[in-house]
Amino acid sequence: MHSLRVRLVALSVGLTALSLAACSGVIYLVVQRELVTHADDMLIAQAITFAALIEYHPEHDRYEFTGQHLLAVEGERLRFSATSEAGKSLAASSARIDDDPHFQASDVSQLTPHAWTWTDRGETWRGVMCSAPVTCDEDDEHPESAAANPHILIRLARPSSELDDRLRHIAQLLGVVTVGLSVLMGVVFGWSITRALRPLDHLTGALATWSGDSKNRLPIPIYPSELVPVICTLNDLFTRIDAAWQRERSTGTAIAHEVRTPLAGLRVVIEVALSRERSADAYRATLGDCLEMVNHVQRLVESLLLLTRLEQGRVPLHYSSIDIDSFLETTWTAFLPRARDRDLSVTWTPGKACRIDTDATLLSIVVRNLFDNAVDHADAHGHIEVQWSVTENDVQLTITNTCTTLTASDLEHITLRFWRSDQARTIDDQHCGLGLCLAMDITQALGGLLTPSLTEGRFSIQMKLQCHPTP
Amino acid sequence: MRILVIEDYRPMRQAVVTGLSEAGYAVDASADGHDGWWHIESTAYDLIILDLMLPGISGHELLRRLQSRQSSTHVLVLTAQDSLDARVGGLDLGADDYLVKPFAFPELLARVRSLLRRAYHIKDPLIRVLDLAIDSVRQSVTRNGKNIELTAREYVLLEFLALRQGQLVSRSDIWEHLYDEHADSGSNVVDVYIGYLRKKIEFDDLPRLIHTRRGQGYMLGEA
Repeated sequence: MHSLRVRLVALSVGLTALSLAACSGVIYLVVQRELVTHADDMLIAQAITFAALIEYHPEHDRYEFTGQHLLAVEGERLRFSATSEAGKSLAASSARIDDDPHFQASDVSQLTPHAWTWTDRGETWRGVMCSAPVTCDEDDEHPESAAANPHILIRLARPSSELDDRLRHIAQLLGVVTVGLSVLMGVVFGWSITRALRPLDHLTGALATWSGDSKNRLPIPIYPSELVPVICTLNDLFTRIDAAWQRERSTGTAIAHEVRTPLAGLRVVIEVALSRERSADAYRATLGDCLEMVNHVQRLVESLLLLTRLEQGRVPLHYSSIDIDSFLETTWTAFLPRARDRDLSVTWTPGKACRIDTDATLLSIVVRNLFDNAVDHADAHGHIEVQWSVTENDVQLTITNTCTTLTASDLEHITLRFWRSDQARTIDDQHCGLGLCLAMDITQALGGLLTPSLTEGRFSIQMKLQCHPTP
Repeated sequence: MRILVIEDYRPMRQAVVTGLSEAGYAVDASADGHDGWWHIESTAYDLIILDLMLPGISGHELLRRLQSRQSSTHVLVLTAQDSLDARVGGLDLGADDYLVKPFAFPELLARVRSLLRRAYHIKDPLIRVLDLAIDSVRQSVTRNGKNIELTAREYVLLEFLALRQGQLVSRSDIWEHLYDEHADSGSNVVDVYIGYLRKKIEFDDLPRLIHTRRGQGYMLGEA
């Protein structure tokens, strides 16, 4: 049963029906008990009445029953027997009355009236047994003899069919009422639950007809307060989906964009080269250009692959011990000529010599990227400062360069994929807007953090690498 | 026809310049916006092939500057941006045509020819001057039904004169439109090429087509 509505209705109706049935059962039992008690009381009263019709003549020690005509009137519908304390039958109906099987003979005068039921020839009988003093034929001259009125044992029974019929009728009435009320409650519950679940239907409808436009938001005011957290979560989810889609789209567009330029270059270079017969040198130059462009695309694809693998945690880390001082110096050597060409002054502020355990290849990608950016984006004739320090738990490398072209708003974007301050794509430009995000992802994979900052025309990037440096 | 190619991606720039030069056009090239603007300001180009994402001054800014100085030079935008917004933005800034990278070089040539015809208000690619017919698509020339073989440079000179048929065209005008910045400005190459053209398109039994106005220049068409 997957429908919430059906489940709620079934549960409500089931519980209601169960409650009504329990109530009906209790009512039936109470009524039955009352009716049976009442009937028993009537029987006892009648039995006492009959007892009053038996006279005792002490002078003859004889009992006389004067109610034979009453027994005749009742006929087969009444069974009666009266016995003396000694067990002598004093009066009886024509039909025999069975004894209470649980009856224990005791002092008749102390007998508590009680009732029992038995079946005789398919008919259920209800009988009472009680004791009652008989009337004495009083002798006015000997009033003291009245105190010695003997008790007799009276059994009186009537068929219980009338009572049973009445109880059956009451049971049927209670059953009908229970079923009727259950059906009615089912309808009422069904209606009210359907009505209460309408906002869910609306929500389901809104989600089912969602066109995929993640800019759509669910309107909070039309939903009940219980659903507001769900709506807020869904709207938040839409916002995140929207952001992810935007990122996905812009990444796709950026990749296409990045690939287009070298692809266009390749096509035009090849088409122009093939447009006529050329010298071997011309073909060699063309092939050289093609190789450069292929290298450009290869760098882009490799960066994208590395980024994807880093995101998926599929880049294996090969730790080795490196001397941080010589590592940085060796890496910087490759950038020295370019720094000289751009007339950049460089200041080194080294920390204490130490060795760290890290993946040298990946760390080299990060550091080369940071040096590359510093050399390329520092203002002409500007300054680069390389500073590193060692603490017990980490190594901090800070590279600062003068950069008046970068603005504070640019700082928010520099870690985005394919973002670059200069949109031009030259063949000599090694950047494709992936370097910094690649450096950030690698640093993260190495258990570190890369933080860029911009202060008064000086761009700084700090790499904090958590490790345990050893001297 | 003199064309300026402003493209920062070196292999692309070199290939376009080579291809256009081999098609007979005089081509100058710039690798960035600053150099491109310097060329625009110093020379009257028939067509500018412009990349939008340039170092220095962006292509959009160059278009804006051209628009503000009400330049009649036609601009063909070459860009990797293919979004509708980018195309509309470029065309709204005064670009005459838009070609998304990567493109086929013959398509670039066709668009160049089309824009050059448009620059001279000629719709039909077949230009007629009396009994001379110039097919600008096939770059073929016939006179009186007879096919005439021309070199690329001769063809471009004839086409330039044909686009201005009936008008007097000065040597400096021809120089400026048909020779790039690397050509030797002191030479009498214009007169030499006019001489070559005359030999090829003029016949004794047919009326003269190229007329010389001493000290002023040349005119193609009826005297």
